[in-house]
Amino acid sequence: MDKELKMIQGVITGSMLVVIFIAVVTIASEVSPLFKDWLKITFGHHWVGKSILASIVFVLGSTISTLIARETTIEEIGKRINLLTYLVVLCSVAIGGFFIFEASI
Amino acid sequence: MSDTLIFYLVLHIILGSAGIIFLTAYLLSLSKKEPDSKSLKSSSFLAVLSFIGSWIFGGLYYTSYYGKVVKPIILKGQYSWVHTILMETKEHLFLFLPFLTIALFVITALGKKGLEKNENLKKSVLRFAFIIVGLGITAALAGYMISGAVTK
Repeated sequence: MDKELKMIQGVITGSMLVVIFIAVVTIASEVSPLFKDWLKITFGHHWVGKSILASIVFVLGSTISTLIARETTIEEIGKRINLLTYLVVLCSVAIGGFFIFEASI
Repeated sequence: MSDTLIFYLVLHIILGSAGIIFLTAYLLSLSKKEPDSKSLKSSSFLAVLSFIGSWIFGGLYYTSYYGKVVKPIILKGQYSWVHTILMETKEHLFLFLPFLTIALFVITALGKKGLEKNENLKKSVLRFAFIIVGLGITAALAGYMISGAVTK
């Protein structure tokens, strides 16, 4: 059960990292045309670049977090899921809010 | 639009809708007093497959057709905000869905004992699944509005 909890903890951390990464990269690529161009040149399309990089962040983040995870409890897992849920809401609002702001200026 | 692109778009919509349906089934199943762990595991797994499929086929349509043909039409019309706000938000929020659904599947598959016994964990997972369904429905509604803006 400990090993399973560590894997759950790792995937939750990987999810947190990927949600933050997607929000940051989305806003950064709109603010910096150079960065958006780099994504287009490197991956063929900025959205494909974000998709591939997000997948790498998720896989690496989950794997490394699982490997370095300390012993945890069910209660702690529940708290981390709550934190991930709040983070998803916050990053969704940040992305939506940014595009509303960008369209209004 | 070629038959292949129509096929990609239709698969994107069908698989995205299927993902929402599987997650709704998951939510209903987890809401029961004694949830069936096999049903939770299969519905979350099918949601993962659906969202990954929708991601791939939506991406193929978006990168090969939407930006070149559909986007300019919307931007020239009176509903340009549908692209600048709704499409831009949808295409990025959609990226959350496959990863969050994978996380939900892992939590369900590896933490089934905790889900059966710990009421707090069950509530946390319910809230998490509810937010994923909400994101999926938001993306679907934005998709309907984007389609509507093309013809007007």
